[in-house]
Amino acid sequence: MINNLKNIYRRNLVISFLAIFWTSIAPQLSAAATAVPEDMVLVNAGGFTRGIDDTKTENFLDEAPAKMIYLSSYYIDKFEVSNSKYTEFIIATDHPAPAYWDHRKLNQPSQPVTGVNWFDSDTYCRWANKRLPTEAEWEKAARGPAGSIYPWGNELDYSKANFAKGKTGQKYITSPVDAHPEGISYYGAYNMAGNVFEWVQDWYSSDYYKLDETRNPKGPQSKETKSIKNISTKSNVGFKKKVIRGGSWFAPAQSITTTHRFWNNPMNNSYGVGLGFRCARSLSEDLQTEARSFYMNALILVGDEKYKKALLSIKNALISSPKNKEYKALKLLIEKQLNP
Amino acid sequence: MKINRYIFMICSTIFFLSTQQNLYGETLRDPVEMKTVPAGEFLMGSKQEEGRVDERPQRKIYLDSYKIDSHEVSNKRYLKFIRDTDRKDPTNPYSEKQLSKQNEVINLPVVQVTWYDAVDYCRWAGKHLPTEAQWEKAARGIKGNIFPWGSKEPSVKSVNFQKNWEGLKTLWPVSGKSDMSSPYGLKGMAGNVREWVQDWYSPEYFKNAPSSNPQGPRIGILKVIKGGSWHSFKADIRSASRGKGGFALKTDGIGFRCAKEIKEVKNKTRS
Repeated sequence: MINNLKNIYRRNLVISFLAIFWTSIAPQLSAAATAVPEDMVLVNAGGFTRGIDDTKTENFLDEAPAKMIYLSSYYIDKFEVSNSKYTEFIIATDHPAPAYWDHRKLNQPSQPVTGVNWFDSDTYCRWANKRLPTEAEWEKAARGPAGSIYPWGNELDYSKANFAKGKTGQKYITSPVDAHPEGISYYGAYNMAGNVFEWVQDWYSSDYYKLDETRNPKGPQSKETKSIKNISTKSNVGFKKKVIRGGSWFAPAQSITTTHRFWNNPMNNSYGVGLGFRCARSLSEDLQTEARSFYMNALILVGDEKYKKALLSIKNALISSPKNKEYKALKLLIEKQLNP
Repeated sequence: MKINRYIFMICSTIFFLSTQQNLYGETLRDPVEMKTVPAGEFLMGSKQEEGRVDERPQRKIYLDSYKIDSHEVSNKRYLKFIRDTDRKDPTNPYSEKQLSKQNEVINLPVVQVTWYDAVDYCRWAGKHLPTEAQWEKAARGIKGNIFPWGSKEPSVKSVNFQKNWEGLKTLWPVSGKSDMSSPYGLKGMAGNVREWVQDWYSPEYFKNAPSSNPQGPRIGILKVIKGGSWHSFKADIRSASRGKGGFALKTDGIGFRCAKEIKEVKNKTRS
């Protein structure tokens, strides 16, 4: 009887503690969610449809099958990296200028940097404390949760992106990186269709979507050259290739879909197509949030007197945040319950 | 078909250009002053504390003697080649007019030319594009100068770099500034226009190149472009600095000059 009373008392104590805890943590959580880095957009954790089942033309086989892919939360640049941003990078690091640096119609500060190879892009992103997006991250940021064909929806529209040299076929320059606000993606990223092709992290393999990697896929593990023979329609030389996405200012309409996959030699910085990029960043708060949820879980388990499970959960929280006093205190409390 | 279109475009361009090559023999159609670079060793590349990874290590490289144009190829010279070979004018960066109608630019360096255009011009003139090693030795001499004039920091008054496009004022005449010449008397080896050279680009080449008359890697996808241009920052106009671009690249800041081997005097006595 006394034990029961004790238990009820303890449960009430825990529940009231939980309530206090929530009111104190909730504002912090929402603050964390709004603290998106400058000129980046947040893509929340969750599933999206990668790829497309298109059986009409064999050239699209590398985009099939369509599959549900889970990605952790990440930020991605709202804009393609501009000449002005790239200038800061060159000045800070003495990095060599890109191929179109002295092309006066492509080198204006607001235009995307053009003529960079994969190594340039990778180096820039690391310098900016970011990284290149994975191919899946790029695609999710472009097409959104509804899986649209173009960033803005499912209808091709010459006014919403810069591709195929414009509607008249005469436009031969890139647009400013903040142009076409009416063509932004669901997550708010600009020019994910057209303007310049964008390097992503992954090596290219035509068979990659057939593999069963559905959680944070990072592309083929090795620099695959094996399957090139099977896709002769798409390859001219047997080189190792990195994926490029999004089409360019003179690439034809079919190359600006959100699922379109193209590639280039990672060393290449020119050869006609406009080669640029944007960066991404993982959420550093992810681990903190994860620790918090283990802690919450432990509290609930204590309330239910499931101490062994609670101990496991609080140990998990301490893996991510080993110095947290609240977590340590709860661990002690649980251990006392287990070994009185 | 999306990919085939790119491949077809690239292949047909290459085919078209290759059929346009002119094999007129050795007549000197290009009466421009050339400087002689005598046979011998020079310091190529950069030391550990200067320059970039792809320029290291600095090594002694031997080259046979050769001649090299003292100026960048001007619009005037290039347009003569265009007329002689029934080609189209290159893109005019200054106005909507045809380049050949833009008289005030005849002494400015030609730009908007591909690597193949440069190769064809030099062949037409009975010369060839310099190798990267030939270009670098001609630019910095044998002692490993950082710039053609030595190691003094350049100013934007005396060297054409770090500038934005200002129409007809952007590029400087090929005659150059004499106090900025290379040890062999070459003009315009830093800034103004970048220059195509013969070699494929490989970031490893300075480690692996033969120490006598290196000709560049056997294969590659990018060609080396030396010297920096009007829009370059200082690090890119150093003589050892290695620009790079695909052979179809054309900008408002890439031109070239030609070189020629020196034949044994004995062979020339009959002519």
